[in-house]
Amino acid sequence: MVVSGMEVGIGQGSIAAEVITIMIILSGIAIGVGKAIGSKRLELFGVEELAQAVLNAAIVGAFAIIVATITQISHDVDFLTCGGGLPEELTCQMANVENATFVLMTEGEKTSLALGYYESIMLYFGSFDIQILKGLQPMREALGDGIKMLNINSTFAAMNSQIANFITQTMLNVFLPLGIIFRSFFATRKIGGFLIGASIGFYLLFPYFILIVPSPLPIIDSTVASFKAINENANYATMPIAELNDNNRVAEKLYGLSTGDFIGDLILAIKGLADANGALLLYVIVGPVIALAANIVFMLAITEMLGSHFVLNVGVI
Amino acid sequence: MSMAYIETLVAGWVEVLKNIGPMISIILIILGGVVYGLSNLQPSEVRGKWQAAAVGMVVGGIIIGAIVGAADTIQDISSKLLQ
Repeated sequence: MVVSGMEVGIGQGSIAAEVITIMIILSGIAIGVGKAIGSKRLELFGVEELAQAVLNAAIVGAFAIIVATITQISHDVDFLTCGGGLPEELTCQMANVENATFVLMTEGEKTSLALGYYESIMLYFGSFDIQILKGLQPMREALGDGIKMLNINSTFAAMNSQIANFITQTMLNVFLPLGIIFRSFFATRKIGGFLIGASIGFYLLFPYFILIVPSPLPIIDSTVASFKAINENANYATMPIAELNDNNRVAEKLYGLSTGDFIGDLILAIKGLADANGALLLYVIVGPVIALAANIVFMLAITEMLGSHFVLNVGVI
Repeated sequence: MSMAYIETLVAGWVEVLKNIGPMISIILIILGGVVYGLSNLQPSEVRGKWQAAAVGMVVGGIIIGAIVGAADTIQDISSKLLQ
C-alpha cells in the first residue's frame, strides 16, 4: 500500500505478518522456558502473547475486508452529496462553505464601500453644510465587524478542509496498518490500539459529527442575495464624484435611497450577515471541537480495548 | 531509512529466532534428560524435586519446538480466521 511515497506493508509476507511470526516464536519460547524454570508468570505471558498474535494475524488477514467495510460504511451515509465517503464529503463541503463565504465577503465589502461613500455626501447651503447620512457610520462599522468575522470563519473552513483531506489520504492507508503492526509487539500494543482507534475514529466519527451540523450554505446564499439586492439596485447606485457639488443631484440621490428603503434593506443584509456568521461559527469551529471531543472518547475506548491484555497484565518483561 | 531496509531487518529477526528456537528446545530436552538422570543419584527427599524440574525442562523444550516449528502455520491459519 503506497501513499505519498510512504509504504506500509499489510498482508501475507509483509512486515505485519513477519512481526506476528516473531511474536508467535517469542511466545513459544516464553511458554517453554516458563515451564522449564517453573515460572508461572513467564508461562502466562507466553500464553497471552500467543493469543494476541493469533488475534493480530486474524486482523492482518482480514485487513482488506476491514478497510472495505469502513469505506463502505463511510459511503453509505444518506446525506452525502459530493460523491465519495465521509472525509471526502467534509473536504468538499468545507471548500463549498469557504467559497460561499468569499462571495459573501465580496458583496459585503461592496456594500461597505457604498456606505462609506454615502456617509461622505454633503449638502452645501452657503454658510453651513449638512452631512445628512453621517448616521450610517454605526451600520458600516457593524458591517465591517461582520466581514472580519467572516474572514476568521473562512480561515477555519479552509483549515477543516485541509484536515479532512489529510484524513482521507492517511487514516486507512498509513495509520491503520501502522496501528496493526505496533499492536503486534507487546511493548507497543497500546500505541497500536490508539492508532487503530484514531484511524477509524477520524475516518468515520469525526467527519460524521461535523456533517450532521446544519450546513450554513442556505443562510449564506440568502444573505448574498440580500447584499446583491442593495449592490445591484439602481436607486442605491453611487453617483459620479463630479456631481457631488450639485445639491440638486445629491437631493435626487437621497430621494432615490428613501424610495427604495435603503436603511431597511441594509438592516436586513446586516442581520443576514450575523445569521451567516452564527451558522458558520457552529459549522467550522463548534462542530469540529465537539466532533474532536467525541472522537477522543472513542479513541480512548478503542485504545483500552485493543491495547489491553487478555490473560495477564504482566507489562513488559 | 527505507521500507525495504525495515522489511529485510524484520525478516532477519524472524530467521534468527527460527534458528534460536530449536536450539533452546534441544538444550532444554537434553538438560531435562541429564537432570532426570542425576535425580536418581540424589537422596530420596530431594529426588522428586529434581525429577519434576527435569520433566518441566523436557515438556518446555517440546513446547518450544512445537510452537517455533509451527509458527508459520499458526500465523497462516490465524490470518484466515476472519476471512
